Amino acid sequence: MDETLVVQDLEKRFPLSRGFSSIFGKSEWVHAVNRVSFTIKKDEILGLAGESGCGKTTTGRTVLKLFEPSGGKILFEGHDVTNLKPKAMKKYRPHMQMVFQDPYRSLNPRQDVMSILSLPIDVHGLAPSRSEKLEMIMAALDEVRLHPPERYVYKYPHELSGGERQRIALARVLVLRPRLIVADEPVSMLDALVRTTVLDLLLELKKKTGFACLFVTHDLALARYTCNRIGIMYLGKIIEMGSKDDIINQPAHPYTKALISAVPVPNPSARKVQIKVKGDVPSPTNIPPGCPFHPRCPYADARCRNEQQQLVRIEADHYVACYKHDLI
Amino acid sequence: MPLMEIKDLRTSYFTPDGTVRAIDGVSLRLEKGHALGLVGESGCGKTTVALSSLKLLPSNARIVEGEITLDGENLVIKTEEEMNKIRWKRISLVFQGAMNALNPVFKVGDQIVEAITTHNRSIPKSNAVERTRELLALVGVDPSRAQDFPHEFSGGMKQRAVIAMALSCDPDILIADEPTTALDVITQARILELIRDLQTKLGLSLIVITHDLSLPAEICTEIAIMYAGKIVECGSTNSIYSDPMHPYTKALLGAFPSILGPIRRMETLPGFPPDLRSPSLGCRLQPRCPIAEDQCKEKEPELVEVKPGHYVACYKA
Repeated sequence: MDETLVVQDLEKRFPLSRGFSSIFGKSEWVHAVNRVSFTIKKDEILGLAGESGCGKTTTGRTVLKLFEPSGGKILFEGHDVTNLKPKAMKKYRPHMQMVFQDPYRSLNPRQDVMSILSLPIDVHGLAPSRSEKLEMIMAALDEVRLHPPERYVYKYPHELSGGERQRIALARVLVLRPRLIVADEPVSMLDALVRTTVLDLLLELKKKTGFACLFVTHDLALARYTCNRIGIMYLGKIIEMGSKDDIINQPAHPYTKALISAVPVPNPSARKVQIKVKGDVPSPTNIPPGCPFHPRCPYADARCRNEQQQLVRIEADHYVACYKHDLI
Repeated sequence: MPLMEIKDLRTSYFTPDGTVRAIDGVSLRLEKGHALGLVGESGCGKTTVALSSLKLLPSNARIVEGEITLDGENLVIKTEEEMNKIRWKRISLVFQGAMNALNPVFKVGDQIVEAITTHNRSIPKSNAVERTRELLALVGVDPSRAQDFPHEFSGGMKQRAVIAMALSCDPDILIADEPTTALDVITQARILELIRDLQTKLGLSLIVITHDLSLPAEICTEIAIMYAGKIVECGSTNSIYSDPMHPYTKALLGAFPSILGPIRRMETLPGFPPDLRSPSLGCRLQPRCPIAEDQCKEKEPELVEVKPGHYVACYKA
C-alpha cells in the first residue's frame, strides 16, 4: 500500500446557531472544509498552508476523526474510516496521531514526563510488563534527543523549555510508531533557533521510522523547508496543489502568489514585487458565489464572480483552481 | 544629538530565587526619523528595554544603573508625574499581543477617546471623537467601525486600532513590541506597510522589537541583536544582513528558512541561553558557540567598532 491517506471530497460544517432558531428558522452553517481531496504517500510530507481561518486545522483534525466529517471519504491505508464509531476507530488510533501547536497547553501540567508517555502505551496495551514500558519510554526520549533520558522522566512540563516540551509531545506520538502524523503548526510557538532543531528532528525521525505527515502551517518558507508537496487552502478549499518547487517557484493562483510575496525575506536588498490583496477573508458562513477569492482578487472578471473553477491539472503534479492562471 | 539614547542601562528583576539581571549594560541610540530593530530570542531582555524606557516596569523590577535620555534629558531620574508628560506624548508603546490589549467590553472608538482625554484633560469630548475618527482613517480602518466592539474586529484590524491608540497624542517615538506576531503573512505584510507609511507621513522614529530577523529587514534602518541581556552586534540594516559577524547573529540568520534561493540546511546552536541569575564570567554565548576559544571563557568581549557604524562583541569577529 503506497498511499497512506486518501481524502476525497472531505467536508466539515459546523452549525452556527443552536436552540429555537435552528428548529424554526433556517439554520446557518460554517463551511470550514469544503470538498477537499488529497493523498499522502508513505514517507511523504504534505503541507497545508493558508491564512488563519482557512480551514487547514479543521482539515487536519477531521482527517484524524477528532471531528466527525460532514461528507466525503477518508481512507487510511485503503480502509474506509469515515463513518467508524469511536470504538471501531480505536484499532486505527495508534497508527494515526497528532502533534499540537502549543506545547504549553498540550501537556498536562500535573503529570510528569513518565505519566505523559505512559498513557498512550497503556491505552493501546503496547507493553506487556512494567519494565518493557519503561524501556519504551526511555527509547522514545532518546529518539527525540532528550539526553540523558533519566534526567527527564520525572520532570514536569513547567520545568521544561518550549523546545523540550514539543519534543515530549513528539515522543508521546512516536512511542506508538504511527504511520500517519498530523502536525498542526508544531513550531509556531517556538523561538527561531529551537524551531530549527525541532523541525530537523521531525525530518530525521521520518527518515528513521517512516511515516506520512500532514503538516499544517501558515509559513510558506517553513513548508518549503519541510514538505514534499504543498496544498494552498482558501475558505475551506484547496485552490492550488503541487510539489514544493511548483508552488514556490511557479505559483499559478493569484492567492498563492500573494501569499508568497507577503513572506518577509531576511535580506533588505532582495525587495520583491508585492502582490496586493484587497480586504479581509470573507466570513465562512457566507462564502461568495463563484471563485471564493474573487472579491479580493485583482484579476477577477464576470466569470470568476459567477462560476467556480475546480482544481485542474496544469502540469504533471500541479493543480490549480483559477480560470485565469495562464493569463496572469 | 540623537533623539533618544540609552547608555549602559542595567535593569534587574528581584525575585525570591535571586536577582535576574535582565538587561546588563545595554547602550542604544535612536536618531530622529530612523527605525531601530531590537532582535533576540524570548527572555533576552528586549521587552524589558522597552518597559525601562517608559519606566513601566513591574513592581519587582528596577533600573539599577545607566541613563535613558530623550533630547538630552535623563528619564531615569524623572518622577512619575514628569514621566506622565512623556508617556504617550513623546514616547508611546504598542504592547506585545496588542490583539488582547483592547478591553472586550468597551467599544473600540471609546477606548481610543479615553486614551486621548486621559492624556489631555482640556480637550472636549467631541474633539476627541473627531480625532478618533481621523486616527482610525489614518491606520486604514473605516471610521464608522469605531462603534464596534473588539470581537467584531479581525486580528489585523485590532492591531491597527492599537496602533491608532498609540498615535493618539502625536508621539515622536513609537515602540512596537512584536507588532506582527500572531498575525498571518498577508496581514503581517499589510501592517508592516502601514508602519512604513506612518513613519514617512508623521516623521515618527521607531523602535521595533521582534524575534523574527526577517521583519527588521523590511522596515528598519538600524538593527541591534540582543543575547542574554546584552547587545552582541549592532549596525545599519544593510551591514548586518550583508556582513553578519557575531556567531549568534549568523545563527539567527541561518535558522530562518527563506522563500528565495536554494533550500539549505538550517543551522542552529546547541543548548540554551544562560540563567541570568548567575551568568558566567566570559562571553555569554561561549557555552553554545561553535568557534569559542579559551579567552572567551575568561573575559567578556566588549562591543568594538569593526567597520564604521558596525559594532560587534566577539573576539573572533
